[in-house]
Amino acid sequence: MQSTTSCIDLRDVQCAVVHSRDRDGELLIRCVQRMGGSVVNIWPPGETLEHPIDMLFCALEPAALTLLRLATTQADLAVVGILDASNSGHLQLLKITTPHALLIRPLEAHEIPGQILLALNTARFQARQQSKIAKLEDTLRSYRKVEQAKAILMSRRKIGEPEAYGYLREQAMRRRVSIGALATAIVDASEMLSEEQVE
Amino acid sequence: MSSDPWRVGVLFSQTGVTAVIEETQLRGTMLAIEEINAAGGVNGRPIVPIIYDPGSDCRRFALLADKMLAEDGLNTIFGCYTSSSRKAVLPVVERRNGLLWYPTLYEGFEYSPNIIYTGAAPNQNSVELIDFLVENHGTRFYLVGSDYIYPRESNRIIRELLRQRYGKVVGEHYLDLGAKPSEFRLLMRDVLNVHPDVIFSTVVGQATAYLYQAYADAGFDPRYMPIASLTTSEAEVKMMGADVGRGHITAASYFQSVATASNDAFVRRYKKRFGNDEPTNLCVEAAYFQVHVFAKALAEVNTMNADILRPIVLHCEFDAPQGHVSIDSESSHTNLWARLGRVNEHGQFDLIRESSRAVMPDPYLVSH
Repeated sequence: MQSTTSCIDLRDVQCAVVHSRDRDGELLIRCVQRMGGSVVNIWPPGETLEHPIDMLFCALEPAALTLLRLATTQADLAVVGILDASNSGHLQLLKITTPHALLIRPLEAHEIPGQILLALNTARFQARQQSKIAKLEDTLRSYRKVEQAKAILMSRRKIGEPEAYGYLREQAMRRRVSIGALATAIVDASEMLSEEQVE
Repeated sequence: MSSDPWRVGVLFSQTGVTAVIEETQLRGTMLAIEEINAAGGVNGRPIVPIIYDPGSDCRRFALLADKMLAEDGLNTIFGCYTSSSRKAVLPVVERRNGLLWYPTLYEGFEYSPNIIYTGAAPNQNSVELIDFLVENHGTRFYLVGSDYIYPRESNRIIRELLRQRYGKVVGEHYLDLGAKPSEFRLLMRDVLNVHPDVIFSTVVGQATAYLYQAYADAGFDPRYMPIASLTTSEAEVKMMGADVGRGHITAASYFQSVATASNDAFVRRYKKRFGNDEPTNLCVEAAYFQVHVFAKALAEVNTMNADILRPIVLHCEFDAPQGHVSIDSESSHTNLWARLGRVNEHGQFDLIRESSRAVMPDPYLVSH
């Protein structure tokens, strides 16, 4: 037991346990605290998460559905579902809420650390992948802006494609901004100017 | 305060087809580590390298990277030469949240939050090289490469850049990484028929020497039809001999002949450590300066945790042998110098062109 918990350090992890403070709730809170985590207990579940948290333990019950849905929108939040297998709708709830790990009632102290580790690892990996995707989407957007800015430069200045690219590169270097940012500025300014002409 | 060493992974092939160049990267890495340790380590703690030999085998690269991160308790790996090995290690470092420092030029079109790229992206070497070749030698290019990701992807870009400059590809051939001299002799017969203005080579590893040797044996003259390359460095020229390499052209951020004070000292220390006849090259230099950048960032945060170290790395600058370099926080690539060199009779490169400052990396060629 000691050796399992000692490799998990929750000292910097803010946790919320959304569960009634019964035998299972108490067990879970004590377990998280032993690993160094600070815990707020919330019950009954509200509509929002008021404290900034890194890890959510939440009973998979209809009453907590809004909260669980909210949780899935926070990319780096690790979610552990607490499931009552005697509840007939439990698979449906699991399907909707997609937690990173699962604890089954009645809770067993020795099963908790493994699920915590699983949830933290998966959530962090997901967050890194999300940040990578965001960066790639950004690159796609700037591709498009550069194409638009290039077209504007070519028609305004009566220059060819290589010259327009060269101009963008040169100006971006000189101003120490990214090509994407410069292209966006050109496209925005050009749209604004042509609107004024219409007025 | 802890006095435990900082343990880092080092993953360069010491056997197999790309061992010659990867061993120079290993030496660059070791030289930097030894320098840092001789100066007292990082915050009083020495850097200790854990070195494995993946044997030029991509599967072993992935397995050993995973062993380092999962079993050996490491967070940082310096390594990889070929793009195929980097692509094999990438999902491993992303899944386990490690940091891979990649000291090799490559074909671009990649971004990972878990990789720091310290070699050139295509806009930092290919663009300058194509411009020069089109202006001085002509527009008919014959592409020859080793058969794996990097040459094929790199040539896709070369083709595009060439089209923008009204040039065209008149031949394209890929040979196995372990290709024999006879295959290159056969290739030269085709070159003789097609008679291009430039042979553009993305051949890497041992086969590089066979290509240049076959060219010399065919009696071609580099003044009229040079072999241009992004990977033929001082190490490859040493393999083939200066007489065979002489007159051919390479684009790189670094040559041993670069005249900076920082390079003079670097070359002197390198030769003292590894022998007078060991030249430095672009891959040694990147492998060397990236360890110093790592140490600089590490000194500031005093932890190897990738989530904490990385934001600091992304703003690091360093006075590298090639000149002042800095990591670009947008792309995780490096602001590097663009240079063109021609092989001289000593197996060194005479500088043909040089950028006036470090060039921003544009790995997705957004502005080309």
